[in-house]
Parts: sequence; structure tokens; C-alpha cells
Amino acid sequence: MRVVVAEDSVLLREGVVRLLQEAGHEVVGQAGDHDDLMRKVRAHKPDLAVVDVRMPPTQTDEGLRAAKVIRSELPGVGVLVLSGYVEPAYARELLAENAEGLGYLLKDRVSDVGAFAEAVERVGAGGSALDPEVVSVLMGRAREDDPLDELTPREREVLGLMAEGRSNGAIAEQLVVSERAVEKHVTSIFSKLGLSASNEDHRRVLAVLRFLEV
Amino acid sequence: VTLAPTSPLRRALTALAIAGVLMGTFVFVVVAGSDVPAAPPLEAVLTLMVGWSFIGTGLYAWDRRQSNLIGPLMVCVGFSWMLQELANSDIPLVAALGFAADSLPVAFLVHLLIVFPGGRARGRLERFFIGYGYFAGVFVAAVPILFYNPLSDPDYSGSVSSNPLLITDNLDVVNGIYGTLSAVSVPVIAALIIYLVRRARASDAAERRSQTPFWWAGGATLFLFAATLLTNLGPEQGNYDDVVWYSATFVFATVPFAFLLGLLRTRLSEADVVAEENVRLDAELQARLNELRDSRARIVQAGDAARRKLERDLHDGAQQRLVGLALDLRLAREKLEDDPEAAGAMLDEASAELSRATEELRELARGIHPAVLSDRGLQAAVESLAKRAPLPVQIDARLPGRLPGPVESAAYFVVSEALTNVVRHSGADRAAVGIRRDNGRLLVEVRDDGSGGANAAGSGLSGLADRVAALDGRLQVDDPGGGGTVVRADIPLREENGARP
Repeated sequence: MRVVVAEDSVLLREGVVRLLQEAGHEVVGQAGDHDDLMRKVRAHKPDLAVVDVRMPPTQTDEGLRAAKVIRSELPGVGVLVLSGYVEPAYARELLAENAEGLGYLLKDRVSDVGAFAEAVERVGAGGSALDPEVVSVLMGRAREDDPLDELTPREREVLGLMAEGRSNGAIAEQLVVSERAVEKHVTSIFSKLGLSASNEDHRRVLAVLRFLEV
Repeated sequence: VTLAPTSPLRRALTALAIAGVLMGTFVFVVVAGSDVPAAPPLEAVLTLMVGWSFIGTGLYAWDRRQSNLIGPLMVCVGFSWMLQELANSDIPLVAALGFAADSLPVAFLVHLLIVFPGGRARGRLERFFIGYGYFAGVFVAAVPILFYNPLSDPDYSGSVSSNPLLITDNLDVVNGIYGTLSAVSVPVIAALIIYLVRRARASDAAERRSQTPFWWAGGATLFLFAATLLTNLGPEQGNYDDVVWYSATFVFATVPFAFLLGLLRTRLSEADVVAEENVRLDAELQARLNELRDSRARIVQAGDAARRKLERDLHDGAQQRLVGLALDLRLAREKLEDDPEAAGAMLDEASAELSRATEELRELARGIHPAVLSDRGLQAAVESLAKRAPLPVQIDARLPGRLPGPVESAAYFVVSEALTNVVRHSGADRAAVGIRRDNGRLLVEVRDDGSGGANAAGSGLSGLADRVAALDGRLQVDDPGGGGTVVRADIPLREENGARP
């Protein structure tokens, strides 16, 4: 997979580049700020851009803005946004209409090499990745008459993994159950929450997110 | 408004003053040398007193309040008084003019009393009195001179030989007109006095202080003038008529002084009020200064306390973990050759510990200042708070666009601290946050359904109260009874607080 990496901290950027290379990807460009990123993405048209949220010049939300532009301008380029902190508000903003080819992860996840590599693969292939912490904030949110109370513990686990953007296969692997069992859980969850099922993982992410946001 | 000495109005007023002095001198000579008055020297002195005091005071008032009719009216009273005294002259035409102007000063006085102090008549009744004054004083009173021949008047003691304005010599017409005029005017003047008394009573204390002398002098003049009219109606009663006439004239002369006395009293009481007000403002300022000093001290202390806590958190938390990690890594390095399996486990442990350290740092950073607040504003930050709260928090916020940074921060920390208190102390099941802009202010409200009993002096909230007060806002903690606590902040969106003008 051809990847462009944008991160203003050189130390972290080199770490990410090394991780990607070790996972067998080709890093075709490295950028330190927003404009540099846009230039390199437009020039290389990579499969994936790994982008830091805060970058020069304003050190606020360059990464988010770049992600939106890249997704609309170059639909073939997936964008994985990395952030020093997670905010559900940013996830909602980023995944407002479409979760396809988009990911939002805490920078810490980089150190979980396996999970990071998986997220890179997923987003590069047009799937989605949402940080487990965002999911846990959304799912753990106190509600009156919480509809999630209807779910069994296992179903909650499956819902969380779905929200992270994982496929049934990946969920089955993670929970060490058969894919058939996961499918049953998913059907049960969707009927309990009153959601219409979708076969495409990134659509499923959006449906779950919208449900959790309300 | 003070006028430049050379302004046109100033020049006109100066000319009037000079005219007043000249005319006064002339009238004084005429009256003092006349045989008509009962007491020529007294009459001459009173003439000057009335004339000059009205003209002088009137010019002063005119200069002071150029658009107010009071000054011009007083000047008119003064000149017309001297004019009617010319009836004492032995030059026929001059004497005739004096006769014709007989009631003019009273007409001006009525107008003056009614429009005092504002300079404007209010209502039909006031306009009626003024109209009647001029009608009676200017037209009706001027008619008798056309029928009056001093030579055929047995009461006339002057030395005028003829009346150049005479049409027909008819003393009955003269007496008839005077009699009718007096008979009609006495009740009108009585009504006017009653009206003025009632109006004066309805005024407030400050108005009374400045106007009472004028009302007394004016009212007394009207009363005595009505009395002179009554003497016209009845038969001649020796020097009784003269006593009434000189009393009326003397009281008339006091009107301008009463006016000046009123001004003086106002000045004095204004000075009193200003002094009192100064004392009050001083005390208020001092109290505010003390309050500011205290709150500044508390803000500094709160800042220090926050730094100490931060230092403790870093020292006891992340730093300890990192030190431990460094140790673990060194141990793992030593085990690497002898026991690679144990070394691997230690490295796993170390990386998990590292995750915990970064998580702690992240939470710490969020507590200092959440990035979402600066990046996305108050509403997004408060929604994020609500999502992380361990109890359901309903948000009702309508905040299109961004607010000034200091206001957003203060409001955010009010909500944050209030929610923390709700969780820690109230035992509430739910909380609600309302934020809205209202008339240039930001209103923040956090309510819960817990046990209540919170107070603003509680450490976290008092620090916030200072923070809100620094923006000239207010923080209130209410215990509405029936359970629950309401924390309210009211912060002005001013330029000083970073709002755009």
C-alpha cells in the first residue's frame, strides 16, 4: 500500500513511517504541515494518508480539514486521522456523512502495532476505523432509559467492535467465535436497537454512531 | 451655557440693561416730582425697586437659560411697571401712555407665574389664564384712556392739562370699564391663586425647595393686586386704598428676590446632594476596591493551588510511572540474554504502563484546558463534558458562532465544576445544563435533582465566582428548596471580555 504520512513531530513521524514500512507498506511522502500534506497527496495519489490533527500553521484542526478535502477531491485516497486526544465531536464531524475510507485514532494506538496495522489496512481499503476510546465514551455515556441495557454483555462487545469499524470476520477473530455467531449477534443487536442492518461495514459504522450520538 | 461677551444676545441684553437704567432714572425723576401719588418719594423708590429688580433678575435669568421664557417675561414686567408709572407725568402724551399701560405688569406677572419655572404653559386652563391676563391687561385696560379727561376727574391731583388720546370725555365709561374689569378679574385671580397653590403642592421636595419663595411672593402679589381691584369697586376709604396699593407694590418688588433666593437654595441643596453623593460613591468605590483586592488575592491563590495540584499529579502520576518504566526497561535489558521469555513479558508490561501514563497525561491536559473548547467552542466542549459525565446530563444550548475566549473558558469551567459537584456531593440522578445568550450576556445554568445544600463559598465554586467576577459577571448558587441545586452564571459579552465591538 502506498502511504503519505503527515505529522509535525519528526520523532513520531519517523516512528509511524518505520511501523508502516515494517508492515510492508511503501511510504511515498512525508509532510510536516497542512499545505505540504495536500501537495504530496495530490502529487502521489496514495492509497492512504496518515494525518495528525494538529499541525502547523495554526496547530488546531488542520488534519480534520485536510481529511475532508482529500476525501471529496480524491475518493481513492483513504485518510487515517491521528490525534493526541479524542473528542466524539471530532469523530462526528469527520464521519458526518460517510465513514468510507476514513479513520480516527488516538496517537497512542500506534504503539499497539497489530491494531494499528489492521486499522491502516482497513482504511486504505475503503473501510473505517474509530478509536475504541471514542466508542467507549459514546457507549459509556449515561442515559436515561438506556437502550443499550437491553443488550447482553457479549452483544455490547460486538456493538463496540462494529462501531470501531471492524468486519464480522475481524470481530469473530477478536472474540474467538465463529463468524456465524457474530452475524447472529449483529442481527440481534440491530433488531433490539431498531436499526436497519447493512452489509457494508462503513455504513454500519455510521448507523451505529448516529444511534450512539443521540 | 455661558455666552461670549460679544455674542449678539449679550449685546442685546446689555442694551436692555442700559435702557432699563435710563428709563428708571427718567421715571424716578417723573414720579418723585409728581403730585399724583399719595407719597411721591416712596412711590419713586418703589418704582425703581420693582423696575430694576425685575429687569436685572430677568436679564440674569435670560442669560442663564436663553431658551426659557422666564427671563424675557421678568424684563417685560420691569419695563411695563416703569411704563405705567409714567401716568404720574405732567407731559400729556407720556401720562396717557402710562395710563394705557396700567394693567400691563400684572398681565406679564400672570404669564410669568404660570410658566414658572419651565417657561411653557401646560394645558388649556393655563393658556386661559395667560390669555385672560393679556386681554384684560392690554386691551380692556387701555380702552378707558380714550374716554378719560383728567380735567373732569375730581380725584385727579396731577398737573396734566389734556389727554391727547381722548375721543370723548366720559368719566362714567371709564369707571364702568374699570368696575366691570375689576369685578370679573377678582374671581379669575382668586381661581388662579387656588390653581397655583394646588400645583405647587403637587411638586416634589427638590422643586419645592427652589420654587417656594417665588410662589409665596407671586401669590401674595396676586392677592394684594386683587385687593386693590376690590378697592376700585368700593367707595373711596381714605388712605386705606393707598396702604393696599403700596403693600401690593412692595410685595411685587420682592418677586425677583424670591426668584433669586430659590436659585440660591437650589445651589446650596445641590451642593449638599453632591457632597452626600460623593461620600456614598467613595464608600462604594472603597468597597469595590477591597472586593477586587480580595478576589485578586484569591485568584492568585487559586492559581498557585492549581499549579501545586498539577505538580502533584504529574509527580505522583506520570513521572512515577515513567521512572518505574525506565527501571523495568533496564531490568528487561539485563534479562534479555538469560531469560528472553521473561524479558518479553516485562516489555509487554512496560508498554501497558506507558499507555496508562499517556492516558493520565491526556486527562491532565484536558483538565487544564480541553482542546475541543478552543477548537470548537463552548457548545461542543460542554457536550463533550456531558458525554463523559457518569450521570445523564441534558444539554439545552443555542450558541450559534463563537463567544469571546475568556467568556467561553469561564462558562466551561462553571459547567465542569458544577457537574463535578453534582457527581460528588448531590446524589442526583440527573442534571441539566442550559446555556443561552440574552441581551449581550451569556447565561449559564446547571441544575440537578440531588439533595441540595451546596453553597457558593465551597472551594471550587468560590474560585469560579472570582473568575466570573473578573469578567464583571456573577455566579449564584441557589437551593430552590424541594431538593436540587441551581448554579447560575451571568457573564456580560463586553469588549473588555474579548467581545467584538
